[in-house]
Amino acid sequence: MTDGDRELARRFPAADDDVIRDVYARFGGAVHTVAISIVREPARAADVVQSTFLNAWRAAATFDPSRELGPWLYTIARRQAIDAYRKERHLTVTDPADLDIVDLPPSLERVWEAFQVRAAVDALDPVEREVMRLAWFEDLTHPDIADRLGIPIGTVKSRSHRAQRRLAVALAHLRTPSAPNQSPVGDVVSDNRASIREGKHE
Amino acid sequence: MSGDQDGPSDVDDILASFGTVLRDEATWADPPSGLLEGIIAAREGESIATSRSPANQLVAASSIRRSSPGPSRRLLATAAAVAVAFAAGMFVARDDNGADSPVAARVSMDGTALMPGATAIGKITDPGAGFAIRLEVEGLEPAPAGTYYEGWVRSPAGDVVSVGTFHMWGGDGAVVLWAGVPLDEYPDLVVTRQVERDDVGGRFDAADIVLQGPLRPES
Repeated sequence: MTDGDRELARRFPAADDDVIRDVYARFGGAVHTVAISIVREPARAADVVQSTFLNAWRAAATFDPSRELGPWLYTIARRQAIDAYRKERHLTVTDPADLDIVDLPPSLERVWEAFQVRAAVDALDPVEREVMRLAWFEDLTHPDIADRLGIPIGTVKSRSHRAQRRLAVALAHLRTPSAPNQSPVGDVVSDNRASIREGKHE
Repeated sequence: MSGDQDGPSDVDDILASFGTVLRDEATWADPPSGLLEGIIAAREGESIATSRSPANQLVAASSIRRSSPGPSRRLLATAAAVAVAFAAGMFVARDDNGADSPVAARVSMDGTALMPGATAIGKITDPGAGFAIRLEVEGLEPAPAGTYYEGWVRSPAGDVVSVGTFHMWGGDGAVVLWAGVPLDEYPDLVVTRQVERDDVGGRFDAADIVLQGPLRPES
């Protein structure tokens, strides 16, 4: 847990507007990532984010500040999103025989991973974060990123290098083979070693 | 996290592991602007409203209220403060589960949109340690891993008291719950689906209700 996250956890039980704003700024994106990953529709994802923060706010007085706030929010978000997903399926499926006996959205292990990744990128400074987004999501080269952001290519390279080291530090624990279940609800996180990094992201 | 600290030596490998997630649109999508203000406004609205909220808002666990002796079929309820914390299973193991005691009330429960195929019928007896709520449950899916079902009795004002937890892993069948409060003051029976290790214990969101029905005193 970073010092900033530790301080947020310490403040959270007070549940005043300022701490809710700070928690939303820190974890709102990651909670939204959980929501959109499961319900896959922006309006319902927004509802899930709202219900997650409202539920968290209502339970703030019972939150143990020695715990990590992020995984606790993830647990609430996951439940809200799964329920929204199931309600939508019950409303749209006309033949009960089409409902799965175990009616769960796919890839809950991936959802936990996505939450952690989003929380990690949101902890980067804004320029580093944008460099990472342009490199990974928009698949731009460093020269293209430099043009897009209007900064020297050397700055792009140094920011990219720094951001990648920070992300690796933040996410390395998710890959530890010897660690027990990583997600807060018992999902076993698989050891993903498949992707090939492209040289353009160095 | 210091930006200048030495990172792991396998930075490339670590990030490659998350390449699919880093390339996923969901990872980078932002919630709509104004959502935070909507959350704060909704919370302020709840704070202004009375705690006796309509069914679609979160309700808090209430204290078990002190009750004076009443008609012969009611027990004295002991007064106690219920901490707003993790929901405690209040199942009391007794050899007969009150099956041979006179029937104090009956209940017929219907499934909600979350569990439309679920039903339950039951009877409430008064064997001496509490009110035994014996339900025959059908159509309630086994609780998925990480979740469980919880019964609650609810007052007209929206106060709730937990009456126990169960899982239905064995399929349709009997469930016995126990209430330690006067049921004429908590005349609704509700079953919710809860998440393990969820810190919102002692309360539930109306969206989590799977079964509900009124208690009908035995005439």
